[in-house]
Amino acid sequence: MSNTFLYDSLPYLVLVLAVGVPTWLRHRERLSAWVMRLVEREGTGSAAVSLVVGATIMLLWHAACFLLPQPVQLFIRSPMRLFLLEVVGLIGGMMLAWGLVASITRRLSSRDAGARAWLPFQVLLLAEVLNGLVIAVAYRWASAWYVSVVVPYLRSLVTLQPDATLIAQLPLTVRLHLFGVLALLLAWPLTRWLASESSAPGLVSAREETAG
Amino acid sequence: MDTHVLSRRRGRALAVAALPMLALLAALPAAAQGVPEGAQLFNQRCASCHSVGQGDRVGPDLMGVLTRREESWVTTFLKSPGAMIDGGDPIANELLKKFNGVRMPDQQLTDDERKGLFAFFRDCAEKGSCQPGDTGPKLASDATPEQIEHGRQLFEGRAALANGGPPCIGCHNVRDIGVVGGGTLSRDLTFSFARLGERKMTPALKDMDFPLMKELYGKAPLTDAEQYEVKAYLASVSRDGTPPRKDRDFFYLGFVGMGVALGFIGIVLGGRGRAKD
Repeated sequence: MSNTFLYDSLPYLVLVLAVGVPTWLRHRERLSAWVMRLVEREGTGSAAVSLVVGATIMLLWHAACFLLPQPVQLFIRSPMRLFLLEVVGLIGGMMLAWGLVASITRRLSSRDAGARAWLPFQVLLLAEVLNGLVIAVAYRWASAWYVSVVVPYLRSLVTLQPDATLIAQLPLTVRLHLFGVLALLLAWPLTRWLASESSAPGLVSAREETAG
Repeated sequence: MDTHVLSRRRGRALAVAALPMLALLAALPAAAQGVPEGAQLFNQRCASCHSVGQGDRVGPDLMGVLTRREESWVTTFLKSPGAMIDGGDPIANELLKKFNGVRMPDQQLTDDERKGLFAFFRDCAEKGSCQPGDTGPKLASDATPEQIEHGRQLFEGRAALANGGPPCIGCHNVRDIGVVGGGTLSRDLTFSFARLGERKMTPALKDMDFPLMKELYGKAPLTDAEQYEVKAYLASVSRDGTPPRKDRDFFYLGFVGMGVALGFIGIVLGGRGRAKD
């Protein structure tokens, strides 16, 4: 076994297993309940599957570049692998966008106030995804420059030593993508609160009101 | 009286005859003044594809070019070889055919630069040979095919840069690189060598004095050998003056890929999927 694996990769692998497995065991029921709710809300049609698959690809793509920049840099040293990574990311983004459009359309015709509360968040997320697609096409090979230009900034934020030297020089579209993430992070708790308030017991639904 | 008139006429005739000589004498230092600048310009911009008296290279040997062709023709050709070829100029098309379809990139020269270059060509033609001084950095045209290939590998990222800098392909495109081309975050470098020439390309790769690159390569500069190999690769790419194709393959591929993925999902669901109303 190479020293590189023993000293560079094994500690992270052990950490992931030590933290990840107990966390999953503790929360697996909550996770399955969440999946059930998602299936109930979105159905199991191709749009719903597209939403989940696209979101998973996008999360993994961004997380891999952020958490493992060096392995990603090694991986994309072959132009073919760089191309494949980008194609997978582009397809994932398109699937996510399509899934979101279908979900937004459905929510627009929904009478459930709790479901409608998520609309602004979903529209914001769709705008962020479309912006990401524009970046992927107009400023292609994002996985190459994201690792070299954006990840150092994100890491500098994590270490509480913000250094925006590199990202300040990126095109406006890319900077908007970063601000879009901040907007989503702000909108997420607010939307959850609004959704829970809207669907709280005791509130009279539109249907009940009509029946009464 | 006759003698006086005669001597006045002779004097006037002598003055008239001397005028062109004087003009020539006045022009000689001016032409000579342009020669060193022209030689320097030739080294920086032309020597990677042309020689003067050492035979054809990527392009023709330019010894006696101003006696073979009209000066006005050479001037127009320098400005835009592509326009002359596309306009059906017979000589330009003959040259294109002779030199394997390699189009010379447009040369943005000032009038002074062009005059200097022409003075250098005339000087070489008078001497019968010309060996432009090889002072300054090693010429890209001296690179071996192996060095050019290694330059391409460095550009593509297949060979890692010694100091750990990111490969150029992430942000820059160059004709025929990668699977469907290079990055588009920054400038297309296909004609960067033709645009900058030896004079500016060498310090550009050394100092990386451009937005983003200054910070990215400040702590991970290219080694001297890497600078030379990348320069040689860019020089070899810029020899073909044909404009690179503006591809949208990647964008269309995304749509095709999404269609395939959705088709796959449809097959897996096999009608079991239930879209929510």
